[in-house]
Amino acid sequence: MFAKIQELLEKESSCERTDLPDRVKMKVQDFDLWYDDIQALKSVDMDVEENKVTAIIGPSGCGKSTLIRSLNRMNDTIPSVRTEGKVWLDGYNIYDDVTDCVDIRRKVGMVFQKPNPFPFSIENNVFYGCEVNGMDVDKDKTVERCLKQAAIWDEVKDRLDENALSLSGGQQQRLCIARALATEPEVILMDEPCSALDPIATAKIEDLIDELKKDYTVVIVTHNMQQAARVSDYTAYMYLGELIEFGKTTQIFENPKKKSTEKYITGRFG
Amino acid sequence: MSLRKIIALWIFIVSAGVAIYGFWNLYNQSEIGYWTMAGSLLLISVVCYASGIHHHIISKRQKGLPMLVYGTFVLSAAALSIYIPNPLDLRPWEIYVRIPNSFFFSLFMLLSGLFGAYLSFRPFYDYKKEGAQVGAYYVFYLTLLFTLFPLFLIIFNIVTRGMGGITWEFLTQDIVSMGEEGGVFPAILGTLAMISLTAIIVLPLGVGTAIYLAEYAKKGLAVRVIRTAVNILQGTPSIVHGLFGYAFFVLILFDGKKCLLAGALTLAILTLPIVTRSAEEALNSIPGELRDASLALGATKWQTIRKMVLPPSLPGILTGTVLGLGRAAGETAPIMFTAVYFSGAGTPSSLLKPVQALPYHLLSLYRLVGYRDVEQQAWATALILLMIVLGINFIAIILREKYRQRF
Amino acid sequence: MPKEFEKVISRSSKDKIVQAIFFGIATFSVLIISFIFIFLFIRAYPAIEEFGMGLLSSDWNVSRNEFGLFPALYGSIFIAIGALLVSVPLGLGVAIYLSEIASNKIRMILKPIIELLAGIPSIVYGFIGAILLGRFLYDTFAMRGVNSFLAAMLILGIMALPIIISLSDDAMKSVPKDMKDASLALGATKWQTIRKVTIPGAISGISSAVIMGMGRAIGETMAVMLIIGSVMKMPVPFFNIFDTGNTLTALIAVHMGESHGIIISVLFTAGIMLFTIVAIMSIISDILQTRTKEKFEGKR
Repeated sequence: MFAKIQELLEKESSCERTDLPDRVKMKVQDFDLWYDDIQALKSVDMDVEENKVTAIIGPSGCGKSTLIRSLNRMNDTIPSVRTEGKVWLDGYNIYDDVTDCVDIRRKVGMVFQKPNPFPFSIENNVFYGCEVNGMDVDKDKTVERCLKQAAIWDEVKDRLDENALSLSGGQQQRLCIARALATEPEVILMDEPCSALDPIATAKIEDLIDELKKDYTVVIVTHNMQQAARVSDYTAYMYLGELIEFGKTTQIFENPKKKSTEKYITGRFG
Repeated sequence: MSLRKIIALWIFIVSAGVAIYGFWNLYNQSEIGYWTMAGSLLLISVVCYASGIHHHIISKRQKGLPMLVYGTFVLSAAALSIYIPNPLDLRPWEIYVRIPNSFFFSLFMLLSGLFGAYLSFRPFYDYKKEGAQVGAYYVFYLTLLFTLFPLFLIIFNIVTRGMGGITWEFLTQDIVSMGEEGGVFPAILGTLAMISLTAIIVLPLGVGTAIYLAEYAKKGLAVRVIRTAVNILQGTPSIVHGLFGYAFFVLILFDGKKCLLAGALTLAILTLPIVTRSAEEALNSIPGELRDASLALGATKWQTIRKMVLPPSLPGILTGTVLGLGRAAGETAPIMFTAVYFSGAGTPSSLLKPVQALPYHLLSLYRLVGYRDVEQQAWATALILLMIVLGINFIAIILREKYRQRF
Repeated sequence: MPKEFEKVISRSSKDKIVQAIFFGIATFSVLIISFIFIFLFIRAYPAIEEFGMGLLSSDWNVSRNEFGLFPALYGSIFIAIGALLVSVPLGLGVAIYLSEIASNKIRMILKPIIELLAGIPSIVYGFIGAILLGRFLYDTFAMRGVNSFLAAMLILGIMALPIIISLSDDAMKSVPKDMKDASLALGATKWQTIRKVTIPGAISGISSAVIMGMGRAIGETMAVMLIIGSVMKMPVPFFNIFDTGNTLTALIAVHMGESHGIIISVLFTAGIMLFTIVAIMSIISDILQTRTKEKFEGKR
């Protein structure tokens, strides 16, 4: 018990730092992850560049969702998870014991596979992040800014106090994006944001991603290769928990270096 | 390590100490003097003031106010409590009780200590939102403690006081001279006979209802009515079951005579909703693909249920039944008008004769406490009843854990 | 079954017969509910016919043939409210701890322990409450007797805990995990998520748990009977928790064995009151429970 108190008291020591190369926002370095005894990520290395869209592709079960959830420590909510390695954000190691994972999640927003708005009004959904983080901002302005950025303002501006669950699936997902924007994050993670949506809603979200990269760094997981080719600047290909190949999207799709990547891209894959 | 954290830690330690001391005195009903209380409250208020002033003046973040307010409150409570008359007499309001200072002081120390400890988390965590979280968790741990404490007290008291009365003679003899001597043998047998009979009656009814609800009809008016009926039956007070058993089974079916069968029928009605619900849950946990696969091979629905659905859900159904029987074994109200005598029934011999049962035995002994020397026997009876009921529950829990691991 | 007969009926029509049999069994519960009501009413009718609204007055005097049930009704509700004041804060705290905070291992240990609390027979609660708690309060407050509303409230509060804990635990578990994840991903702490997402989402399930707990407290018989003293009068003043009184359940249990004639009929009237109150509560709580489920599962 005293050891624990001691540990709490010494928590003020500073976080591990490093200098990242120019224009690199996040860097995953030699990262491993286990669910109990099953290794889901095997020494992954990856750079995420600022104001660019990085796509993670690969067959299902390859660990792409696990990897993106590692970027804001969402895996901490699963009790059986154990990690090794480092993830740098602006030169700070977010897996340092000192780092506050609640603070990380404010800076690194996330959009989930299924649209998951809270069962309260649209504006309270958007403002929720500001509220829990105690941000001193004007509610109406924030709501308007975020909804406009998420390209849903015109559809909902007259019914901001309506329950968010009454929106359609595509609208719900854009609302979730707006909600993630409210905490003024620097990076936005999207975990297969279009998998539950129809083609028209998907096109809207893809346009939106293109808009968003002007202000934010975006990382997107997708099982749809055309989508990766359309929206991303960089692409990472994963297979069985390993990062097989990482590079510019044009290079990955036109001139893959590894055999496995080529097989997957061309569709000759199991 | 900053000064703020040291002070916050001190507030926690002092407050927790005062709270534990207060609780200890409350539990033991021991006297507690005015100076003891004033002294301990003074301790709390001093550290609270230190923390509040430290924040309010030295650091620019003006968040020390709650500490200052609380320190003042505790200090004035310490000073003003000298004016509380000893003991506090409520008779002017026609309430005939006197609250002694010792009780009042202990309670106040307990509560103020707990609240002081609660306040110390926020400064300890720099007034970040983690502080609020740790404080809230602390409250939850306390509620858990206050929930488990009575359970511990009940079991501890029954075991320590009941052990002395359990002898070989007590377990194997009928009662002699209104329970002062002799034992509870017929009552144990009566209880076991009653719940076995209940199990035989309730299993087909409960499982049949569950099969209809889970397999044949999932929606519709009939199902809604049946489900509501099951829910109402589950909430029905046991004394109402007793009244119904008396009015229907005893008066109409059995000619005004209490008997084992009437009691078992009443208990079957009591356990029916428990068995139905758990059986339905067990049936619903069988994946739908299994049924589709069987139906696609040309089996009829009934064949599917019998061969594919029932066998794997059997452990779940059994668990629910056993839990229901555990409840039935401890019930008094449904059987007291329908099946039991305090003495003279002897070991159960026929379905149409009354029996003795442990819960009713305990009730009768309690009524005799004060007139006859039976308190020791009552505690022993309570212990045996508790062991039977908890033993049944234990079997159910073990069954369920095994079953859960399989799926 | 003779072979020819088995050939005559086709397999599918046999299936229909089986279904009909199960439907018959399933209607049994409905049958019992209506039987309970009918038979209670038949027995209660003489008293209702003779006294009418006099049954709701507050005068109970057997020798003067006055049977007002109001003191017992009041006592039932008074005790139930007091019991809720004990069990709701504790029960909700434990439920939140179990469903949101505790690790799986701790949950596996704690759940059976709390089920133990539900497993203890009510007569044992009553015995302990009357002998230990009653005497403790009697010594501490110099009361006039060991029986009091306060002791009954405390014991019933403990007895209502398991049902409140397990039902609100279920309600909070039914809030989808991706909703909680969304809140965490926005930088909320676990406690903020519980307070702002989980509890508002589960609120109707939690209120159903509270209503079921109250139903349990109103319907509890043996424990209350031993602790309350069963004196047919109102507490004076009406909020006096140190006084003795009566409840519907205790009234029935105490008088049933030693009365005859019209009094039995009065007791059955009390039974009908009790049954009606608790049945209405069950129905309300049922509606609330399905509402929670539909809220999250309906849209998917």
